[in-house]
Amino acid sequence: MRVLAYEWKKLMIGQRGLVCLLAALVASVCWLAATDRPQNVAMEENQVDYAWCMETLGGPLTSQKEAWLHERSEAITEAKVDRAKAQEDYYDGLISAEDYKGATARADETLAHERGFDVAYQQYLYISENPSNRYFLATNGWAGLLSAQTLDFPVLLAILYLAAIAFCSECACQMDTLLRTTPRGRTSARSKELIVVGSVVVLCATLSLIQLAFFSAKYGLPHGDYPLQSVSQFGASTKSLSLAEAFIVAASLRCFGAAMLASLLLFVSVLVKKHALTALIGAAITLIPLMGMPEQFVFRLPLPLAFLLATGFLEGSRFAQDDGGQSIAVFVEVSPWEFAVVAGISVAIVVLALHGSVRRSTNCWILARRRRRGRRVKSAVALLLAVALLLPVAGCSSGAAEAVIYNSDAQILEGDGVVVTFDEETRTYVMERDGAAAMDVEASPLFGAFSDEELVKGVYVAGSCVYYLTSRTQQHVDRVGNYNSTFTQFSIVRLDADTLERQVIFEQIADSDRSLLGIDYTVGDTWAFLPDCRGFFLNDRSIFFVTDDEIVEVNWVTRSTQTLAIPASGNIAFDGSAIYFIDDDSRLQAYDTQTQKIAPVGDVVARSLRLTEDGLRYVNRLDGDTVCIRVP
Amino acid sequence: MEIRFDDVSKCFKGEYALRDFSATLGEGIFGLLGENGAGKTTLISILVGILRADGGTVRANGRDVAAQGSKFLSDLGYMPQYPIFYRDFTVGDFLLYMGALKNLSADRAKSRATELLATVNLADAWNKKIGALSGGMRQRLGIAQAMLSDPKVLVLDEPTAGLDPGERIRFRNLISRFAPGRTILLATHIVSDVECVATEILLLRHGKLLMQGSPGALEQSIVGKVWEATVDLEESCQLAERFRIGNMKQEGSLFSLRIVNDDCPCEGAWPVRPNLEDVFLYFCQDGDMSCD
Amino acid sequence: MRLIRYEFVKLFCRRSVLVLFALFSVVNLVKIYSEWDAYSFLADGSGERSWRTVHWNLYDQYRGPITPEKVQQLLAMWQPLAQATADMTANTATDDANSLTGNLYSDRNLLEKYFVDPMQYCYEYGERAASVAEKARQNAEVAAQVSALYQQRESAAIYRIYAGRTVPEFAYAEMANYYLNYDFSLILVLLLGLYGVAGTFATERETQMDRLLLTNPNGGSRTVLAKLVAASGFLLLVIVWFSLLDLAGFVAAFGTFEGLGQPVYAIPSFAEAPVNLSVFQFAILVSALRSAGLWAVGMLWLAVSLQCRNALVSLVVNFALTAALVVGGASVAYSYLVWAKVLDPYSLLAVRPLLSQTEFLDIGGFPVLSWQAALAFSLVIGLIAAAAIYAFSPRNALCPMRRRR
Repeated sequence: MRVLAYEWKKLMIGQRGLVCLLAALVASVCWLAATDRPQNVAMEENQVDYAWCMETLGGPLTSQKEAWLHERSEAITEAKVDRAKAQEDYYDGLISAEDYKGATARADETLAHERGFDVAYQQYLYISENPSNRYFLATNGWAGLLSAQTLDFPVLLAILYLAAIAFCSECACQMDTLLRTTPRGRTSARSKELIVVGSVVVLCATLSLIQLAFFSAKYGLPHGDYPLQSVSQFGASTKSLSLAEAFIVAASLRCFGAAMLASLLLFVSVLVKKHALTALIGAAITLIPLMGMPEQFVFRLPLPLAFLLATGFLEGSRFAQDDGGQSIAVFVEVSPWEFAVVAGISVAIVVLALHGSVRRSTNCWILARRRRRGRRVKSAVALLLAVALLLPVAGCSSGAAEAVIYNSDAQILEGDGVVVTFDEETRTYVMERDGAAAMDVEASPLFGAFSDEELVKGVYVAGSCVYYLTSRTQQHVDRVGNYNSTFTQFSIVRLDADTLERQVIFEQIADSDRSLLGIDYTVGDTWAFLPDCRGFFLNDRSIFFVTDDEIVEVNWVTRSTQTLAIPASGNIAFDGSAIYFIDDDSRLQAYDTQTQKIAPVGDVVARSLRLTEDGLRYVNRLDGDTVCIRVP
Repeated sequence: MEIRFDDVSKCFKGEYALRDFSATLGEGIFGLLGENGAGKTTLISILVGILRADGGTVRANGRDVAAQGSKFLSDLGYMPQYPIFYRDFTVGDFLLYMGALKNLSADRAKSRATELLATVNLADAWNKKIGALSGGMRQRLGIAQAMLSDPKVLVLDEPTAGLDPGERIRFRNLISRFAPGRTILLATHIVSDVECVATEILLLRHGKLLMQGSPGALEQSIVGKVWEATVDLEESCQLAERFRIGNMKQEGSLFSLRIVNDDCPCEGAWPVRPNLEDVFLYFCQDGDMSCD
Repeated sequence: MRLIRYEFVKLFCRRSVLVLFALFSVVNLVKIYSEWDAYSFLADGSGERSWRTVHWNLYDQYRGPITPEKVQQLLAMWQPLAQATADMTANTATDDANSLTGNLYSDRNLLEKYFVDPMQYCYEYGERAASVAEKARQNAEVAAQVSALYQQRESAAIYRIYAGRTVPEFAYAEMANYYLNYDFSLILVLLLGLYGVAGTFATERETQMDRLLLTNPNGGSRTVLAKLVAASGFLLLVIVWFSLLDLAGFVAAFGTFEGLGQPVYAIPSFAEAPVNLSVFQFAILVSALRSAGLWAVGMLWLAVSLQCRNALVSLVVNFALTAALVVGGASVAYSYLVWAKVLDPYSLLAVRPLLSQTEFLDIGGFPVLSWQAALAFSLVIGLIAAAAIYAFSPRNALCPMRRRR
């Protein structure tokens, strides 16, 4: 015990192992907190409505629930129709105000939880494919907790550091020989192993617990007993695990991966006796397979990487379409027996590596008594290490506070001395300025020249600046020949109409199918609204993206997104400070972008609206559809 | 404790570092002499169990050390060549740590460490960081840690390398104080260190034991083979090329030479009483460097 | 010169470095072969009806200048097949005597993938490039009207790049495509470079050689200079070796040199390449740019090493620094934020994002191609780091600065 205490003091205090562990922990947690985004944004934004649906739906899909879903879906459709009809009738003078109020109240009651219901219905479509092991629950917490399949670099660095110093620092001060001549030199070596392996396991376990606490606090982790397949990433998995079990398995596998890497490096360190070389070998056996191997091979080889990534062992097969429409397996599920083989070999490697490191640090006179038993261990470990090493390869400012006139369905946008027109024929936006020839807003001759996937999706004009939103889909080549990986990037470019200077002021990749140097990662569905975007406008605080049925506000600084409670099916007008729209009751409303509050504009009931220089023009439903103007 | 080596051999890449080495060490101080690469460190490494011998046996009190395992290590104290230890440890912590490794109880380790630090004149250094110690202090700390478990066998590998004369004398005296009732193996190529303290000398050359005996006996073996002569510069250069020169001293325009050779090396040379350096020179050196 | 040689020997002629060099080379070759084996449709053996055999037999007929006769001949072969297989009712037999590969669908796929689509791309490229050049010319005129000097210059630069671009010849481009898109060796280069260079100063400090060096007449700043030159040489050697190995590996795996003489924009993913070079010349440019990028990163590694007492700490810190550069560079690799790309030396190492797009940076009103700006910036970073190392490295107190002669 005393030897263990001294070894701990040496490693953790003297060699600053504790600082390294804490630094890794802090860096990982900060990274998690800074980069986490909900997997299903709609579920998060409509939490209350969704929770209301879950009161009925939560748990496995039953025929009653299915009937409820269909009933509710029909009721919502009917309520929308009834509401629209009541509205038409009321403004046409066919029904009284009371009848209208009663009808809208009934419809509103049905529509009260519509958005949450939409999320639940999407979930139903997924669950109905295989209701036996897919249950209704709020999945954001579990999906965040289980889906992360990226290598934790701070943890990797901590393992490399700790495993490299444990034995190499003894060699550096020539204490290794002295330790071997003491009766408890073997205990010293074992203590080192225990401390290094134990501390990296503790590091991983602590990180897993922090993740658990983080996701539990942020999204909630309900119904841990529900099947793993309830989370869509594991939908195709054949593993019979509950969500809580899956978390425990994944966390345990990560701990084992860290222990395996540490054990291998401890063994390497007693062989090579050099810090830097040990750390480099550790980095190589982790990074080379990570970047050089197809994902499905990674999980079929006894490498620390597979366990450090962990969740691949739980995932089901994934398929992609090739050029000819054929289904190609991108990832084939790791079967239980494959896992057993990989895990078995890995455990053997760990045991041999730990045994080998102690053996190499043990006095010959102590070893001599056991010589016959373990002669071949060294060569076996060397062989396994070689295999483990070689196998992987076989395989204007952005603010626009000034007064503007923006209408989302306008074909012509005007600013100070600049007019942008949408040309239906060429599907391009053409800019005309006083005394200058017309030109495309995206004037780059290369834009769209070699690809049909480059488009201008919307334009916004403020003062003499033209802002336009481009969408560009590209093949993202990270692994040779793997051209399936594409990404769509959306950018907002500011074009100064006077000087023709361009500046990219916003950029975001919307797809979740992208990889970084061969490391696949997802961006969730936070930005999934971008491909549906049909227009946008902005002020000094946010960008507002108009899609077919909603407006999403994106904060410039934090890039956080928020879906506004504004029906976006009709025209949306923006004057630089307020968004004007017609609500579901046909009332003209204004959303103040500074106070984030909605207020009615007078008592106007309108069919459509348009913002002009003179004011808001609208078709007044209370006045026989006459066109009126109102100065906001 | 009696240590017996029987035909111990060790090969590195086909070359023998130690070949059929046989010797018996009883109680007392045994100086292990030999030029660089003679096999001293290999022999010591085998004895302390850092290296495994390719052949032969080592016995302690008649029992094969391989069969004793850690029991033998409990009786062993070892001080490596050029010890650095842990720079960040204090002297006290280091000795307590070594005590733990040597199976001493915490109290026993502390009392023994205090006692030994006083013996090696480091009583005030308990709280000093090892990184702050001088070379001599570190060597003394080295012997203190080796003596911590009161071992019956003490192995010291080049313990005086890099020490100033005062430290070396102090160190030699320490070793003599620790000698009673112990077997001390002292490897060095500084002949004067062993000459003063060793009860027996083992002379190694090319991995083989050339001679073993008391310093007096070894000196006796080359009586009549050590000469002195006073010659001029030109002749001194000629003699240096032909014979092994133990010492060359300038006296005015002449040079006084100490020559080791079977026969009288030149006219006017007279035989003198050999010392251990002459023995070393006679057996271990093929010749001296020429005169520049 | 001798100092540089000794420093180089210290860096490079270590057993561990040599073993890693050999091991990584083998790993790289195995990886290249596995790429060919996994992704090329021509890796299906050498049977009489294999794609490989059929492809090379047909290739002899269509290689070289694209002529109307060749186009007609190819279409005459492909169109009936395309029609027959369009409604999925063609004979699905795999031993069809009337087919080239034994199956009609397979024939159509072979022709499309290796002849029809690539030839069509080559054929149409000239027209597309001409339209780019024309539009650039128009833009320049518009920019001139509003005195937008930079835009005018940029349009002129685009015009100069694209005017007259054509791909007059058809050649087998698969190997060149895979070769130009291969960057696995970059990881090996970074690991090897990191291991070789990261501990340069820290190791001297660990072995207390730094003190000894300082006491010698050539020990202080001259040794530092020698270390900088030797490290640069080592990094250059690593890059050049792996560049050669990549090329040799792909040529050997695919068994052909075809396509190396084609213009680089004949490869679809390099359609917007800002340089008018052949694939082979392009590969040399890539190698040179990578060298500059690695050199800049290497100087940063050395600067970190100078501040670290321990080789392991130096390695770990440099590893973290490299990871940050890689993640940062990779995340803006396909962005419009050209500055972000240019400022990160990793972009120059990965190089493909810079050389597959014609992008300019406005520097003082002049459009500078992003790869040129990245090159200049990397060299500046490297030089600043090297100068800082030289200036802040320890000196003998008796001669704090080198005497000027």
